[in-house]
Amino acid sequence: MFYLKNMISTCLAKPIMGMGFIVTSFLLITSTFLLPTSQDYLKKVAKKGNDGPFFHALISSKENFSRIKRKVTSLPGVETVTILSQNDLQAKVKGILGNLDMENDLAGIDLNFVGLKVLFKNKLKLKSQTLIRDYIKRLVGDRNITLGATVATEEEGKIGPLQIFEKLGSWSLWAFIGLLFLLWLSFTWFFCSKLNEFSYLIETYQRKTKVAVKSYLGFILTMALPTIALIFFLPQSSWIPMIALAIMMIIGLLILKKSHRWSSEC
Amino acid sequence: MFFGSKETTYKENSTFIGGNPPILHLQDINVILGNSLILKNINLNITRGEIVFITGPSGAGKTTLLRLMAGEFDHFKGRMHHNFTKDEFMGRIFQDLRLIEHLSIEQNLQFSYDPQIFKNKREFQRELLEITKFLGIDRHLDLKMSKANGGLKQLVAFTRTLLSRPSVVLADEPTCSLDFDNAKKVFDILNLYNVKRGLTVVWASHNRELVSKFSGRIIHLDKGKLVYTGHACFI
Repeated sequence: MFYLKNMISTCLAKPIMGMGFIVTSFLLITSTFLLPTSQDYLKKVAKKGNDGPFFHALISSKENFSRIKRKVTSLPGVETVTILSQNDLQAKVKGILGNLDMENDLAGIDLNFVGLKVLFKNKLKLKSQTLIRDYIKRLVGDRNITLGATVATEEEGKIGPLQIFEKLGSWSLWAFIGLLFLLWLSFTWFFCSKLNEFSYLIETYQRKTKVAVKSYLGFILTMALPTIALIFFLPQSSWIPMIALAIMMIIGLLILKKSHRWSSEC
Repeated sequence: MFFGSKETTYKENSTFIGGNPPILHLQDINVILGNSLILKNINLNITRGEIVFITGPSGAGKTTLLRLMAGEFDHFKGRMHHNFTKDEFMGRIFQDLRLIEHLSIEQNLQFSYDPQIFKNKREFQRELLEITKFLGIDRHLDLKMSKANGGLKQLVAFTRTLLSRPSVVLADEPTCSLDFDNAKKVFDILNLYNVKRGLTVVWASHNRELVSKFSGRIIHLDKGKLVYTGHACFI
């Protein structure tokens, strides 16, 4: 606790430098710890961002829907074809009819159909979309299929900050961490010299040793603890954050060793 | 002209007059910095509760001797021994003072608050006020260090050392920016702590005239050699 207090009082003595050090340390630790998860998340977001318009199709379950899926998927301009669960569709239809007090009429309705979600490639021309829809109609037969309207994705064409990360490539995350590291390094350089001065005085006038080292390590570990605990709740874990933490510790210690500690020459 | 005797060579396991072993013992000490021999064959014993002045011209090796006593040198020839008990501590007053300029005087003094030594912060604060009142700097406690003059800074550095409750004070030119009255105050308070708490004082100064007015033992260095040891009043 004494060493953490020492860190805090050093931060308060030089607030801008201190806050810069604390914020960049926190961001660096968090971003390296969340790197694998962030990469996964960005991939998903980017994929979502690349999605084009889509439509739903209801086909009688008597049809060979696997063959239809295969044939449609092979068409140029189609991104994916997803088969929607038969049970889910039936439950939804029953729910809707139930709300309309038409439960008694259920016996007369054929609920044996399969849902397909056809997703077009991003920026596919309207003419191509119509051609694909017509092809499915011909493939299944006009009477055996009901096509839903084509729905455009809301984010289509728009590029958010997260998509920018993905567009730049996976290295962009590393570049971001690299920049953050450089920023952290410059703040650490200045902060550690101040920490060294304060610690030197404490060592000289109190019965304590290696105050700067203990304060620095104590602070970094305390800051990393919540993030380390968070790892257990994340789907992916990796060694990268541990290596990053070790690097931060080693660099901090080297700076402490090299930085100004009052001149010993009088 | 000096009167006195050369420091008798200390021999391990020898019995001391009065049975009081030295708190600091230096035997055949040689310190080489770069290519020059800074301290030559120094033999010295400093007894617990003693006030010792190290005098000599600039470059005689006074600061080096103090730094050696403080344990700053790993590489020296000879033997050095600190006879400290577990809680004993060596306080230092540096020639360059080593104060933090952007903090206030009181904040600089807070560096000496050691919870292992003081029962609580109130006790520390009481002692801080006692010393600063004695030295006449209590009304400047909120002043920023950068705005303090040289004499005030020196008194702050001195107070900071006393507040750390050392058993030995190694003071390197602690009064060089002070007039005689303030220098006398510094000596008086050191004397008081010497009587009250048995504080050992090692005071390096090039001003032989000043130290001759105080009571204590003088060790005179010249070109790294110990040339005289005796009572200040014999100068």
